[in-house]
Amino acid sequence: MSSVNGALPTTIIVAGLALAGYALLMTARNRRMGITLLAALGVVEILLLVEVGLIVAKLVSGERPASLPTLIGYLIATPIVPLVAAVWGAMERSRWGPAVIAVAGLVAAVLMVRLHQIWPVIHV
Amino acid sequence: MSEPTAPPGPTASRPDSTRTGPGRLLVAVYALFALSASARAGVQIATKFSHAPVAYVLSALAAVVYILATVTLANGSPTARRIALVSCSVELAGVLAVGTWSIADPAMFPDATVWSSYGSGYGFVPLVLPVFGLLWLRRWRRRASTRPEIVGTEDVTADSHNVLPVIPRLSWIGDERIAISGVPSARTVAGLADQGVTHVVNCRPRAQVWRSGDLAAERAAFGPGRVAHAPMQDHGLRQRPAVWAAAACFAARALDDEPQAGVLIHCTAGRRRSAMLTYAVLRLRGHDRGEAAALILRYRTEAQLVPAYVRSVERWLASPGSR
Repeated sequence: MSSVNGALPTTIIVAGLALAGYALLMTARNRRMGITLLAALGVVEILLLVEVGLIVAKLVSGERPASLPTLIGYLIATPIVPLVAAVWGAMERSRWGPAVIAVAGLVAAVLMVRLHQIWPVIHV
Repeated sequence: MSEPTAPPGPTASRPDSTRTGPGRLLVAVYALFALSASARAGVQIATKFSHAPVAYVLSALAAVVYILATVTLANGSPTARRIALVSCSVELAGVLAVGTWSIADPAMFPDATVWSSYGSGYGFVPLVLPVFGLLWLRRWRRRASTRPEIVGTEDVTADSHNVLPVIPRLSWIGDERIAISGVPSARTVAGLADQGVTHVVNCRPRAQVWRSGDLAAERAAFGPGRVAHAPMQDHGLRQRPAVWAAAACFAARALDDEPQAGVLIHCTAGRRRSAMLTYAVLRLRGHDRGEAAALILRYRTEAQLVPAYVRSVERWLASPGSR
């Protein structure tokens, strides 16, 4: 069992959980997705892209995790999550749009933990 | 807090399909599990199948069940709901059986599956998810049996995930010779002329009119010169004038030039896009903002004037090239 190391993944986990909390608040208050949630989702997306970029740089420099296909799968899936959530949030004009975004925030946090379980040496 | 309040009433409490409203959340979580379970099973089977064959086959089975549930819940037709019911049941049985088995005989599972220990590796979501899926489907079955209009078979096949009444109700907007309605089925288009309709503005996106053939039926019934198309997605954000402005001008011109003209403006539900286009036409015909909005909301009670849509119209009217 490895712990999450590095400032960026920790930031992503905190940001993802904060996003999820805010989105759930919006769901509870019967709000639909607005520009604030969209912007918060954008921030998480940018953080995820930076993290993915740093890991790709590490791969390019020659280091390898135990299971390369799994890592690549995670690297592809990670940046897609906020994008899909944004589209769904825009399509669902009810409180359930923010609910989907809350799931995306939680998933971003979980993905960071899982990435570090797959490849404990990620020090970014 | 800058988030807009969700509209009360029909859209908030009565989603159109198993994939909207709370269903959207359910489908999102199912899609997530479909993706992660199939990716996991794919990697396990491709790289180290002999290591734990039982666990990996069960992972693959779980992946198939999740994919099936995602697709059928997202589709929402009566047949799809039946398949969804079966896959959610299999999923619940699977997570209970595999969960128990993995605890009773850990040697069979040297590597975990999604369903090992009742899905504890996934925060027990695999255990909770089928329960919510079954509850959601049960709510739908109840509603289907209390809403007779759902059995319009022609519409269900034409537009499988929007449950539509067979004959849409036309709402004439006062004496403006403009009517708003939901999408007419191919069979009811011919009857529109009897209700005073001479021109049609169709506000449904291209993929949908292509699939259900409503625009083609309207062009055949009224002639292509009397039907305009404003292919809009109902995303609730700004609508580009390039998509709808020509159709609004077309309707306003028809009403100006022909005293006997009656323009039907329809989208899918007759709630948001058609209300927006009607607003644009009323504004072009000389009504001020308040009058136009009041007319629409008075004569089409289910209409909603989405603020971003109204802003799109006003911004276009204020721009130099609009008239």
